[in-house]
Amino acid sequence: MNPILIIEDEHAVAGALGAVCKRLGHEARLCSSGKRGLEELARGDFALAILDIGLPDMSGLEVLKQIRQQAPQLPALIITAHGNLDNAVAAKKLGSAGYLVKPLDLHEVQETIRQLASTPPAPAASTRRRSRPLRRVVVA
Amino acid sequence: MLVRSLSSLWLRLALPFLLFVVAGSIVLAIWLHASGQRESRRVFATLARTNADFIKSAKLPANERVANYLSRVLNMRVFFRHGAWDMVSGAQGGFSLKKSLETVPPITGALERYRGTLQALGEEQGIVETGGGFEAIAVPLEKDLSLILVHEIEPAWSFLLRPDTLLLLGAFWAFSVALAWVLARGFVRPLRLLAERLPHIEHDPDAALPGAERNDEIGQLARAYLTTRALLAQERIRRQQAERLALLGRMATGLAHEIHNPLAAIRMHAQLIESSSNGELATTAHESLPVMLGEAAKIEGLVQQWMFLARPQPPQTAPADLGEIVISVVRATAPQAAHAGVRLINEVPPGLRARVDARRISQAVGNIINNAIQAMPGGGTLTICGRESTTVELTFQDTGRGFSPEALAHYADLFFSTKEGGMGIGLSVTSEILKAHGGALIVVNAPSVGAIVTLQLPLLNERRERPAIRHPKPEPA
Repeated sequence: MNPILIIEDEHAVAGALGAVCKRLGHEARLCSSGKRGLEELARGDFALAILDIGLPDMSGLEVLKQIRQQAPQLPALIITAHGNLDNAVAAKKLGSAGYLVKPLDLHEVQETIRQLASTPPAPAASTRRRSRPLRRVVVA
Repeated sequence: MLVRSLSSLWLRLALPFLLFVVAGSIVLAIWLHASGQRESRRVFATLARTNADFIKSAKLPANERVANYLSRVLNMRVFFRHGAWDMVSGAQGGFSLKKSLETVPPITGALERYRGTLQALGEEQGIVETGGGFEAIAVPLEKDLSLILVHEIEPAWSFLLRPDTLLLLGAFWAFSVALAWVLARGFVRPLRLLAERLPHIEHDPDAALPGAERNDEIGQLARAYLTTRALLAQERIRRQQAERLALLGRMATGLAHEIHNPLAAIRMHAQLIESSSNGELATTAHESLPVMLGEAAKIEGLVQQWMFLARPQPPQTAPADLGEIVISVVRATAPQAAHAGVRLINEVPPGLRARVDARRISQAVGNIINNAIQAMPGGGTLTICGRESTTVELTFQDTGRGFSPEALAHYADLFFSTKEGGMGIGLSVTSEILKAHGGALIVVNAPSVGAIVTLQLPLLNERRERPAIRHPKPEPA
């Protein structure tokens, strides 16, 4: 199974997400910044990218925009501590497949990762508008 | 200073007032001079007619002797005109008017002109100015006989020395002074007092304003200011309440935001343990429990910092080994640093001691390390050194992007942050903690790369006056 790319600056959250991925049979590649995440993305073929919005060097949405250029078909799951509508809409426009707000529930995270990581690759960027809707949008 | 004095109300009033006094004095003097001259001529004419009547009633002869006698009595030149204008007085032969007038030196040169003037006088009994400072009057006694009086006109300035002139001018000046006093007392002084007092009553809501009790426009002005001040004070209270609520909202939002991450981690790791099978339980617990404890400690630290902001307390100091404090904080932050690719190098020598509140200094060191880790998103090195000179210093040098000029200017301001989503309390609290210890936080950019943050504390045996705990002031929203 392809590994899952986790871009999250908080090591404890990243570790928990990594453990969930491991349970689902995926190797987890943990990165603490957008730059390191994009470098890691260039090195492998991933089943899913999990992105935190509040990264120290750039916004997770900005990372998602660059992921769309590097790997248009890679499903992305956005997680954030800022549960606001603007971020959710921006994530949707950038083709995010999921959007979760912290604090995260393990079972919900696990189910979301399982479904997104096992989904066939999304259509190319030109047909992104017809991609499936967000699996779950939680807005605080 | 000159411009300021020129623009003062005093001068603005004094100049026109001075002009008014000068112009008034001149007008008054001219009027006094004219009326004095009229009075002098009236007296002169009355004198001439009285003497003419006396000569007629006493049937005195119109000769030189009588003329000379009257001259002495009246202290002026007296002539009688008989027939032709060039012959006056002299029943026994008479004498020439020309000759007579030549005895009055000032009018000798103008004799011909005077003759014409006297002729013009004729029988009209008018007074003519003969020039040379003399005036004359002719009063008919009988046909072809007139009494002529010539007297010297007083110099134009002489009226100034007259008592009535001095009295009137003195009265006018006294009136002007009184008017100036009334204006100063009733208008300029209250306004000046008002202007002097206004800047000082802003901070004293109960302070009275001079002039507020008056019924005139100055009183209205003072009362209007007091009303405005009261309204502004109410507005200020409302604004402060709104600012406090906004601050409370930001603090609550900030606290919630900061706690979300460790809370999410604790919850997920707890659920990992909970959902572990018997076979993997021990391993999962071994991995997750330290993380959970670390995240719980992080939440505790955040709450402590917020409490410090909300209700600052003086530090509970005791001699402590700064090296041990640094080791403890480095150990706690090592997982986060490792995750960020940051290498922590602790070069603090053993035995570096200072009188500190260990918990607070741990928070300060933790804030600086976390800040440095966030400043190196691509990884790097954070070197921590310690030394003792005039102060005890801990220095944190990273290889990150350094502080922006704006961040260097505002790093100690509450809620100032250049990090997206950052709440900007870390360095602000750190700065306040050090100030409460009598120390200081110094932030500079390294010459080559990264930033150098220095934490200064007083020497262990140095008794330094600690400043009062100050509540950090937030930047205006």
